[in-house]
Amino acid sequence: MKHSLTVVSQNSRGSGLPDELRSGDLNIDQRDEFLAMINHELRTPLASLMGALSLLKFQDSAKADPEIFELIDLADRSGRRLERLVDDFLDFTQLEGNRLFINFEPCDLLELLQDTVKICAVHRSDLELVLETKLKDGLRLASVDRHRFGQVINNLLTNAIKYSETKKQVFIELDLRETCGAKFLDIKIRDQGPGISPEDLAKMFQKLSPVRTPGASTLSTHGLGLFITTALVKALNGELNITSELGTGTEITVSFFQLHSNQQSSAQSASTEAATHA
Amino acid sequence: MRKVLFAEDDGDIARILRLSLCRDKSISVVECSDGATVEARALEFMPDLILLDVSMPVVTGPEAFAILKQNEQLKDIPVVFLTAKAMRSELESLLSLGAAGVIIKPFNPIELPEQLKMYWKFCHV
Repeated sequence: MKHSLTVVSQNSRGSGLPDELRSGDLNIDQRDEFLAMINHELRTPLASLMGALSLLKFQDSAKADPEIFELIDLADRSGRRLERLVDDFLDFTQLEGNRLFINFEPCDLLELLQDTVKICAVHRSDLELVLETKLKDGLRLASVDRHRFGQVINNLLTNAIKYSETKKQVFIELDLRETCGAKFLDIKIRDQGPGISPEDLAKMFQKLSPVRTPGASTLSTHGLGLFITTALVKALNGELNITSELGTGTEITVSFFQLHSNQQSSAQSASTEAATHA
Repeated sequence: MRKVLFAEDDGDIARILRLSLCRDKSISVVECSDGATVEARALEFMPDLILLDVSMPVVTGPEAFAILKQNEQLKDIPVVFLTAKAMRSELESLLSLGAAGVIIKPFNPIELPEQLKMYWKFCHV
């Protein structure tokens, strides 16, 4: 049986930050300063670690010994996981404070999608990622935040890949839909993974609610990823729909409302607050 | 040969920067470990680009930037900030100073030389 969920918005006011950072003991400036300091303290040693590992991977002596290279690669992957966690923490705090910076600009969507798919494909060469587009050439240019759009697709695609068994396919479709005179850009990601139960489907978009699927990789299981993705979709004037069937797979569609250029500036300052509807 | 001067107070990050930039044989590198000596080193070396860490003791990156921009000989050299903070307010304020760009830590040391060349090229179009 298929189960569906539409997430049009999400409540960003709730637990997640220590009480003293929300209760008024610190003002906004002090809170920003505190978060900036924490972020700085986390990123500085991470920069040394990741930098050293990246340089080490390119050393001939490391490449010559498969065992050493494998260990360096393992440390590098763990470091990237930590890096992503720090990025998610920063995004989360910015979403909590409603201070996410959205920068709409004209982008070639197909190119952007192709780049994201290429990056994701590196992690699972045993899967086939199929990118299909129904866009005509002249419609490839749309107004989106390049970084945040890429982040949304990357997060959703990473999940689809993470939960797919070897030799399976993941489909990515890009389409422009017109409904009642309004234009929507649809990106559909469909996997052939184990699917999601109705109970997990209901809680997987809440923050700090990781859904653990047997056999899935342990990448990014802190439970912030989908919460951030949903909030980003909302900030980009979008909507997220998910349909899943146990044993068959999951399909996620993100639809972005395409604004006219004179509407973009007001959209940039639009609230990123939202509420979950099941 | 393109000349890059970087100022970074964290010894480990400075080492990564040096190893990263020295991988590219078309770049020569000079470094200093605080914001106070950036102007003197820049006058001596006359770099094509200056990479400034934001959080340095005594003289910070933005303060060193202001000193460079007041010097007639140095004011046109593109400056790229290096920061670990990555908060929206800080990025906006760094760019509003007139910096050529901002690189966020952790950076990729393999791609850094090309990234700096892009800034250099962009500033000389």
